[in-house]
Amino acid sequence: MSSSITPRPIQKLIEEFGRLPGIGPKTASRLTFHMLRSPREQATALADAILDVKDRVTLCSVCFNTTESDPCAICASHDREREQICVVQEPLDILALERTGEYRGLYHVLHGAISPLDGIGPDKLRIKELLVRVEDRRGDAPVAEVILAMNNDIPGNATAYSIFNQLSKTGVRVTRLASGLPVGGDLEYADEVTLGRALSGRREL
Amino acid sequence: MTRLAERIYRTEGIVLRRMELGEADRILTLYTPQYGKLRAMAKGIRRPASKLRGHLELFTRAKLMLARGRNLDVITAAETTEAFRGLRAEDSSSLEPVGGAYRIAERLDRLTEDGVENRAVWDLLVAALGALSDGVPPRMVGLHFDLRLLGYLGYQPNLDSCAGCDRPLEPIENRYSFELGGVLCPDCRSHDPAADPLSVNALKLLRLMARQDARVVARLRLPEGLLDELEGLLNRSVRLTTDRDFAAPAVLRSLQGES
Ligand SMILES: [Zn+2]
Ligand SMILES: [Zn+2]
Repeated sequence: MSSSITPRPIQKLIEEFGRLPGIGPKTASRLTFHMLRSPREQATALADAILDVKDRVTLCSVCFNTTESDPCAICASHDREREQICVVQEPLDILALERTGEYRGLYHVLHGAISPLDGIGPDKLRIKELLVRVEDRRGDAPVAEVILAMNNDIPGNATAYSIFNQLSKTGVRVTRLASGLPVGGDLEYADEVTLGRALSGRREL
Repeated sequence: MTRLAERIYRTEGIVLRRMELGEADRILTLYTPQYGKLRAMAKGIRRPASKLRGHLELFTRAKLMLARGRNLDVITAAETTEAFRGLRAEDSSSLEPVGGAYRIAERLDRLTEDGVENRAVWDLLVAALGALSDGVPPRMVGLHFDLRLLGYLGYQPNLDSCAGCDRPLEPIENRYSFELGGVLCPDCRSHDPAADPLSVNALKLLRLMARQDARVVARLRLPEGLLDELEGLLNRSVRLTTDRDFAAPAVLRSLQGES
């Protein structure tokens, strides 16, 4: 697309869409011309939704789940069992586990898994913060069990064992979801039945 | 009909690297015997029903069917031929071997170009992952891999005669010059002032690794200091060929520091 004949605003939007993960130049152009043809309200709604995500959603300072209020609804709830923390890779994994209705404890979101080739080591994940939570004995219900709910693949296993090694000094009970999860499986995509079974059959590490 | 057949091809491949794309896709970096390094798309692989899943895990060797695409080729079928089970154990015993596999994958990804066939490198990769999976010490597998990979990519050092005067090397301390492609005798040191000291034992070990596979070399009981010396030399050589720092070793060091 020659820059001299394309209006600046169009170029700019194509450029911005093109920065998004998984969107190449072709898709970026297609989205841009789609927005150009859509009614103004739709464009406003999209722009507002994007800004809302940035302005109104933060990370919970306790569990690092995405939330509108800090602490998040789960951390603030009185109905949850505070002795259990389930560690997941992504916020979406919490949705999957909540759908099973089998888990009543708290969560901790790492925001990723160990990936040496991308330079993501244990220090880039929220593992230090997890240790702080586990070692905090001030509350009336200290953490008794940490459930590792990483994906069942090499990055997930490496992450689980890195956390396990660090937690072993604290003496807390560490369990891992049972291998009902298919090999190579993302937690996010596991169905409720499989995930429920993986929860109830979790094993000691 | 013929058009379609032309678009489909088969190869074996080992997954070196993966990148999430969109909702359920992944872009995989594979190493293959016929096409060298190959980047291909695995559509829908993160969905539970995907037939590709499980066959295209990291460090899995699989038979593949691909369709040529406009940008990236698309994997249409995959079947595991070797899972390297020792890398997949669901306990901490697999952390060290997996670390070794990541290190090898990063070397290969950085040092090779897309689409350049190199059968010797493929065989080296298969042997290295097999050795790691069988519990051969990752450090030895890694050093052996580095030396052989450099050799197969055209940087094979001459380990028998001096790179300056061509006289046979004496069993004394020499220098190792990656720039000059070999070893310098004490008389020729000035040819490359940056060359590293090379002990007699390190030279012997280099010669041995150039001839034997990693499993054989690993049976020797070698002092850590000697391995450190060799690792230093090979790391500098690898860095000189790529001009870039590697991410995996730092991450792997931080993993080892914990256990
Ligand atoms: Zn929270
Ligand atoms: Zn000489």
